Amino acid sequence: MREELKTRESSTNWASVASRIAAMALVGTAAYVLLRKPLARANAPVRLTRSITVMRPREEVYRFWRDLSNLPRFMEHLEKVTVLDDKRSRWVAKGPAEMRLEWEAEITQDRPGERLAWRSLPGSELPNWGVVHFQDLGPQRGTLVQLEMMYEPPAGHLGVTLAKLIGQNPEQQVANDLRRLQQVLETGHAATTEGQPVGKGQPAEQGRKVEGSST
Amino acid sequence: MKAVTWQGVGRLGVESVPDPLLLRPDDVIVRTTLATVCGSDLHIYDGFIPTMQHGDIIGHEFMGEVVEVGPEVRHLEKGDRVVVPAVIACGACFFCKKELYSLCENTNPNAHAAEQVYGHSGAAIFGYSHLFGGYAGGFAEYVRVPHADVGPVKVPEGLSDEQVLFISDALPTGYQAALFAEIEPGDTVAVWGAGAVGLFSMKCAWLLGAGRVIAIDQDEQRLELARRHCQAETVNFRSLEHDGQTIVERLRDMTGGRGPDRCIDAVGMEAHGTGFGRLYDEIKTRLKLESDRPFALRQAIQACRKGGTVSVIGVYGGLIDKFNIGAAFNKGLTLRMGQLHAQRYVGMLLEKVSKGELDATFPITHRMSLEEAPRAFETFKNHHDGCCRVVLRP
Ligand SMILES: NC(=O)c1ccc[n+]([C@@H]2O[C@H](COP(=O)([O-])OP(=O)(O)OC[C@H]3O[C@@H](n4cnc5c(N)ncnc54)[C@H](O)[C@@H]3O)[C@@H](O)[C@H]2O)c1
Ligand SMILES: [Zn+2]
Ligand SMILES: [Zn+2]
Repeated sequence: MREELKTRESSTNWASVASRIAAMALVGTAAYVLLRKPLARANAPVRLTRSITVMRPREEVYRFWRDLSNLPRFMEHLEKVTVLDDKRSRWVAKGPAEMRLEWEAEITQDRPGERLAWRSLPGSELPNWGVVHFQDLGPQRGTLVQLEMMYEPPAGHLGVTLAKLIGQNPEQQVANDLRRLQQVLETGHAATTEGQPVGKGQPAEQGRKVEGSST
Repeated sequence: MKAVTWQGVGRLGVESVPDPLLLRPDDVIVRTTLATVCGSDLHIYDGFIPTMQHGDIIGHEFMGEVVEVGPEVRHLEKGDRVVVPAVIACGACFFCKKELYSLCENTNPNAHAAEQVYGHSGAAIFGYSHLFGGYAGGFAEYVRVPHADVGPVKVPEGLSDEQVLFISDALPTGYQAALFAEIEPGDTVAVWGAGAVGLFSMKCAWLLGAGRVIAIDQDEQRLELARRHCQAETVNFRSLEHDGQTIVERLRDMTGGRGPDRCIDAVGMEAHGTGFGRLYDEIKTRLKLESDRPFALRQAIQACRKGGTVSVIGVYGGLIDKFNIGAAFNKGLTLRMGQLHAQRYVGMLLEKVSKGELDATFPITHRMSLEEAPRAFETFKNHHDGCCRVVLRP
């Protein structure tokens, strides 16, 4: 039951859902086509930026992130981050069909409460780096978290694995990860429906028969 | 357990599904004792709300008994009787802290989808499509209720289920409609739609100082409820049509030429129209060139007195056509709208109900079992047999 639900949730193609909704009106469809970004070309370095506002004190948000072992709590594709020492850590990302990508990373800059940067060490299966800024927005306005990440998709077989891992929309992935960060920090847990009951008709009919579709 | 599922436009299933589990430490499981079919469920039934999937358990207006409690829940215990707000809110985010609970940022796991459609995502709603979180709903014997310390309110002994059920949705929605109308003492308030939501907004308009309340609908039996229980003057727009008068003209006549000070749209996107506008919107929605039919909204804007307020509580989901922005702008109107911030009003409304200051049972016309949900939907949708609201008992 749970496995089935997972497949269903993860196989939900939100781009197509969005297009279906947009297709409820021509204007919407046009806007959707215009707004859709082209997919990243294989092997070109991928740069991602995204920010979010979290209603927790800046120090707390920084500390949560600084303990890199917390990252898998909101970064969906990370299975585990093991902190090796003050600077170095070992990252394991999970993919479909038990596939794994692993690398070691080091913290390259640490300004407590303000800025944290890291990069993978040479020999990584997935060369990547990232930097996150934390900024106070004033009383009752929370902490601004700005994330910038870059990775170089490997060629060949690994590249294919990675594409599956990250999906076709890495921007959305990062946005979702940051949203989960917010949920974990503000409420203690990321929102979920995984494992809830559902009736007949899923997942087999999903994707074929969604009403409101206008094709 | 037994649950009512969406199986395509106009089709429901009553099926056996696994019981819900606690999925987060601040969840509770509620055994449903009473639920009701809301106008919003009709938008789902009629296929106006996208991202429904076959097998989704529907229903958002419900109450019951707490039967399982997550380890982090502090305010509820096994055995508590609770009314559950339709909207799921975390209580901790920027919006919840401002009491804008239906804009909560932390409860919709599909927020990215809503973001693509609306620019931003609001809160999740029970049983109300994947765009609104995809949570299993209340037309089931058991329901998982997340953030249990934020939503559900305990019902004091001595109050029946029927007395408090609507505190889940229709009553606070009606209250919010009246609140958003910014009523000043003595104002004339016109309400489009005499369903439970419209009726409750009429009652709440009085509470907030209205001097006159006018109800507009085409269902004479519902207008009778408005007269009898909400002290409203009524206008039947269907018979007006026969008299060759428009609603705007009639309301102008009724208000000494000024128009109602405050107008409430408690109809939403599936409004029934009259005349040319009706044909226009029917064709356009059928061709999917327009998603919502805004008759009531257009009329409210047209009828409202200059400098007045139009409060939109009927649900809109997508795009509308021929929106009379010119009238709204040049008459200096204020427009307020939104899903209900249920958590903000439930405590206060429960108190009013328990003190006997507010009767929330009068819209109930039909009682059925959960298994009869398909019939309940048809009866409610077509206003069969004088139906205003059906309650379902598992
Ligand atoms: N904003 C929210 O959070 C919220 C919450 C609950 C319900 N709602 C919405 O409120 C609306 C009413 O809910 P309900 O449960 O009372 O539904 P309902 O279907 O029982 O009532 C709608 C009423 O509007 C009448 N109507 C139709 N076209 C009309 C028109 N052109 N002019 C005047 N009246 C017209 C119908 O005859 C009916 O009596 C729905 O759109 C529902 O989705 C919104
Ligand atoms: Zn409702
Ligand atoms: Zn919230």
